[in-house]
Amino acid sequence: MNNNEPLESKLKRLSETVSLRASEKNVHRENLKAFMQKSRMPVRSPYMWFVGHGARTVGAFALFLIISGGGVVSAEISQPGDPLYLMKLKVTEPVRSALILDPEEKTAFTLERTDRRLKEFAAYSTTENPDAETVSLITTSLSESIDSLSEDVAEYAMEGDADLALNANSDLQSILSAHSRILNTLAQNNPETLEDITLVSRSVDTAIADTENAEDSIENALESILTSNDSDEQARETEEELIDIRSQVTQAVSTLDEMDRQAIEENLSEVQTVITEAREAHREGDLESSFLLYAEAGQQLIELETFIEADRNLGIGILDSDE
Amino acid sequence: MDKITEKAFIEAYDELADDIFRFCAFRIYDRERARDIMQDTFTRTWAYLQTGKEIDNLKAFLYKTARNLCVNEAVRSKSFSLDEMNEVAGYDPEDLESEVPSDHAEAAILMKHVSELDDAAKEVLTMRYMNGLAVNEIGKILGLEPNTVSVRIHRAIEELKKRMHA
Repeated sequence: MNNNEPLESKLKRLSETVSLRASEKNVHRENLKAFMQKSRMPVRSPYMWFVGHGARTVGAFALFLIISGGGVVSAEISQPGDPLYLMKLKVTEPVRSALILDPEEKTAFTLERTDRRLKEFAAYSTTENPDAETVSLITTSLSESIDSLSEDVAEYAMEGDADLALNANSDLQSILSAHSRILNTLAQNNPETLEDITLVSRSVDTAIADTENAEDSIENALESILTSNDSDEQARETEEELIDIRSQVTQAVSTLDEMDRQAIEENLSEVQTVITEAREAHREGDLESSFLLYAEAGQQLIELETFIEADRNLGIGILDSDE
Repeated sequence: MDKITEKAFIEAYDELADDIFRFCAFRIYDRERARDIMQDTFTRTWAYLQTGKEIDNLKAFLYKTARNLCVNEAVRSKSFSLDEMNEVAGYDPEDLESEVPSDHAEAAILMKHVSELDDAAKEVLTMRYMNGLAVNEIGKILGLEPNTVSVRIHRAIEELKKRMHA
């Protein structure tokens, strides 16, 4: 570049050094023409993307529900010996539990799992040739849920929620006590599976002993939390819940024979006596006794529910037993 | 106003592709990206026309689109070696053998000084001298009065002279 050349001229000459090569320009020209040709095609609404993809997505989701969702539902209702039972114990229930954020709801679900396992074991142990692997699967799951509940109870107690701890412990005790009695009856009626039943029965009895020990320590902490001003409201809510359970038991009684019905009605009468005592204790200001009596009434009602279900499903005459 | 046909748009490409590419190259100093942005400028403008909208001044619209696209690009480098300048310019090494080496060296220095100007100065200089746009046209693209554009060009030239003689 010439030093005397004006800067403006130099800039113009500089710009000439920067240009597209003919080949580059042609490539971009063809690209542009292709783009323009493509845009000549019938205009497609941007929402068509959703229609196309949406339809496929909905279809895929429906397929997923049929395959996976259906599998999940099937697994949920599967029983020991079914192909999906392993999935229920190892996948669907743990996932469902993990998705429950509320600690009380999680505890309730673990109680339900414990009850399920014991019912499933009772039903499976009466079938011909129970598979050792399935029995092991059930007992492992049972131990896990009982351990989990013990941890919940301990955690509630440690955090000062003695009422929650006692309720959870009491519910677990009810379920275990009811099934302990069912297992004893099963052992008498099914000598061929006595070994398995005895194994489960022992672990249930151990767990019952644990809940009794826990109960003692929790009751000591009860007094401090049962002085709140809303105890009237709590007592009223507890009674409502108990009445609800009792009405369910009363409805279930109609399916029983005369002898069983009488046995249950006698038990219901006893439960009503306990509830009345709890109410009187509350009126007198003995909140601790009131709480424990309500808990006992609840425990008895849960046991009665479990017995009725076992009698109906297993046909083992549990209500006729001497205990 | 007449609708811009495909034929007219391709003719506009033939006429303006180099200018738009050059404008981009002097804005971002990256040849490959400048090519991409030039392509993008034309396809976006065509897509805009396909929505049924009208464009009064296609040339100004293309520059505005290119300018907006360049704003989003990071400037690769503000100092240039001869090789880098050759890369932006797209020189073929074989062609260089026939050129006078001192011209390329001086062009690289000039490009370096231009790149070091502030964005507003660089923009008007590029449009005025590299793209050969009239002051009025630059004013329309930048949304400025012609007088303002003239003042900016004058100041940019003065600043560049200072840098060249420093």
